[in-house]
Amino acid sequence: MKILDINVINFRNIKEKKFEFADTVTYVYGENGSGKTNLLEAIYYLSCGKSFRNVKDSDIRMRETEYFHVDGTVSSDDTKHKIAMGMKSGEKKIILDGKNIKKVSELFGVFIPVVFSPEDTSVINGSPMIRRRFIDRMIASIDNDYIIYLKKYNYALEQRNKLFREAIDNDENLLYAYEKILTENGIIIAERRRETVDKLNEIITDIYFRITGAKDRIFVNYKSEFTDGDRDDLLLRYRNKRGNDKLLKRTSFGVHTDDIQIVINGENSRYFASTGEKKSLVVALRIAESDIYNKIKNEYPVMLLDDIFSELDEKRRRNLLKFFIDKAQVIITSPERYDIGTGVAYINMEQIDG
Amino acid sequence: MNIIDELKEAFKILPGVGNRTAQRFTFYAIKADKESIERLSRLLNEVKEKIHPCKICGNPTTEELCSICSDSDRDHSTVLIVENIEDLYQIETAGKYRGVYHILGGHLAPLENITPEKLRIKELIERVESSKIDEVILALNPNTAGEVTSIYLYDLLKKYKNIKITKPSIGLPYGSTIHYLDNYTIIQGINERKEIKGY
Repeated sequence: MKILDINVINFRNIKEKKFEFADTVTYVYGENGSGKTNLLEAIYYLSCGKSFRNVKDSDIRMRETEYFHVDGTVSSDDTKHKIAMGMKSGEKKIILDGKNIKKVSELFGVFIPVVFSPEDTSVINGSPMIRRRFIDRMIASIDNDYIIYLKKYNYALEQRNKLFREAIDNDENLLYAYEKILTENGIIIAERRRETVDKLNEIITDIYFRITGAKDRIFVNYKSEFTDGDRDDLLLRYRNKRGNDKLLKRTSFGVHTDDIQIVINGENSRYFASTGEKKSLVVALRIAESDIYNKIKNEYPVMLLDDIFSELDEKRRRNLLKFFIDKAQVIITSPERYDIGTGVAYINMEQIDG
Repeated sequence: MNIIDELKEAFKILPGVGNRTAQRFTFYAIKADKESIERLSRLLNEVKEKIHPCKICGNPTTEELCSICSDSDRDHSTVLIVENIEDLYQIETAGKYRGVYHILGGHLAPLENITPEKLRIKELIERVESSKIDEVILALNPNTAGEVTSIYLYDLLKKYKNIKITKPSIGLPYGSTIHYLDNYTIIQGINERKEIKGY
C-alpha cells in the first residue's frame, strides 16, 4: 500500500500545498508548529474522513476560511485510486475515483495507514474503550464485514439502553429481541477479537525485544465476559441482568465492556510500566498491527511515524527502521534532520508557504 | 406570510421536496390552468376524507376492506407482513404472490419512540386468533431494525402451533457480480444456500 501524492488546502495550518512521497522513506522535518503532524493528519484523513487526534471537522478547517480539502493518489497491488475529501459550509463530500460516496464506510480498505505516535500512550493509559477501538480498527482493516457486526451490536445496545433509560422496559419480548441481536453479533465480535489477540501474542514479545533489546515478556490479555459460553447461556445472562440494568439504566453485560490489557512481565502495563516502556509498547503494538495486516493482505499499510525519532536513541531508531525498510512505505516526521540513509526523500516544512 | 410563500411552505411537507422544488411547484400552480389545479385540490381533499386503512390489513382503501382482502381468489390463509404500504405495492407490482398482507406501519425502534403499541401488532394477533391462518411470512426490511421486529413477532406468534412462520431468504442479489459484493452479503447467501433438486 502506498500514497503517491496529496494535495492539502486549508487543513489546519497548511494553506495550500501539494506533497509527493517516495516509494520507500519520506522524511518530513521542521520546527514544532511548522505543520508536520498536520500533514500526517491529512494523509490519515484521506483514509477514513477522521483525524487520528480525535478532533471535529470544524477544528480541522483553517481559521477564517470557508472550507478545507484534501485529495490524493493511493495505490494498492498496483491499482491506483484517487480519493478526495472536503468540507464546505458544514457539508462533507467524499469522492472516490470521480464518484461521489455517501458513507465513509464505503471507502474502507482502499487506503490503510498506521500511525506511530509514542507521545500518544492512550492505548495503554486510556480507558478500555480506546483499546477496544484499537483492536476493532485492526480487525476491520482485515475483515470488511466486521464493521457490520459492530454496527448491529451497537444499534441493539442503544435501543435496549433507551428502554431502561425511559423505564419502558416492561415488554420482555422486546428486551429479548435486542438481547438476541446482542448475543448473535457479540459472539462473532468476541471470536474475532480473541483471534486477533492470539495473533498479537504470537509476535508481540519478539517485536518488543527487537526494538528495545529488553527481554521482557509481553502478553495481550483479552478480558471478556462473553466467554465461549453457548448462545443460550449468554441469552440467559442478559435476562438475569435485567434487574441490574433497570437500576443502572443501561446494559451492563456484553462485549462493549471488554478490555484488552497489555501485560508486561505479568503486570498490567497501564499501572506498572514506566513511561519509556509505555512508549516502546505503543510502537510494538503498531508494528504488530502492520505485520498482521501484511500476513493476510500481502502488503504493508503506509507507516506514519509521528516524531518518533526524538524519543528513541540511535540504536532503537535503526532497529525500528529495519522493520520497514524495503517492505513498507514510511513517512517520518521530526523536528531535526537526521541522515538516515540513501534513497530517502526529504521535505522541509519550513520552506512551505502557509 | 402571503399566499405564495404559504403555498411554497405547504409544498415542503412532501417528501423529497426542498426549497427550490417547492418554489417550482408554486410557480407552476400559478401558471397552470384552473381545471388541473381544481382536480388536484379535489383529490387531495378526497384522499383525506375517503381513504382509510383496510379493516383487516391496513392497506389504504375507500371501502371497508381493500381490494386484496375482498378478493376471494386470493389465499387468505397466507399472510405476508410488511413494514409499509410502499413494500406492499412493490410486492404486488412484482406479481405472483397470491396471499394477503398485514401492514405493520413501521419497525420497532425505541430510540425513535416506536414501541410495539405504535405498530399494528395487536391487530395482527387478533387476526391470527379470529381467522384461519396457515402461514405468516415475516417480510420486514433486511436490516437490524427489521430483524429485531421479526424476532419480536416470531416470539408472539410461535405459540400458535398450527401456523408456519417463514421469512424471505437473504442472499446474492440477482444481476450482481460476486466480485463486488460485501462479505456480509456473501456469508448470508452461503448460509441460506439450498439444495438444487434439478435445473
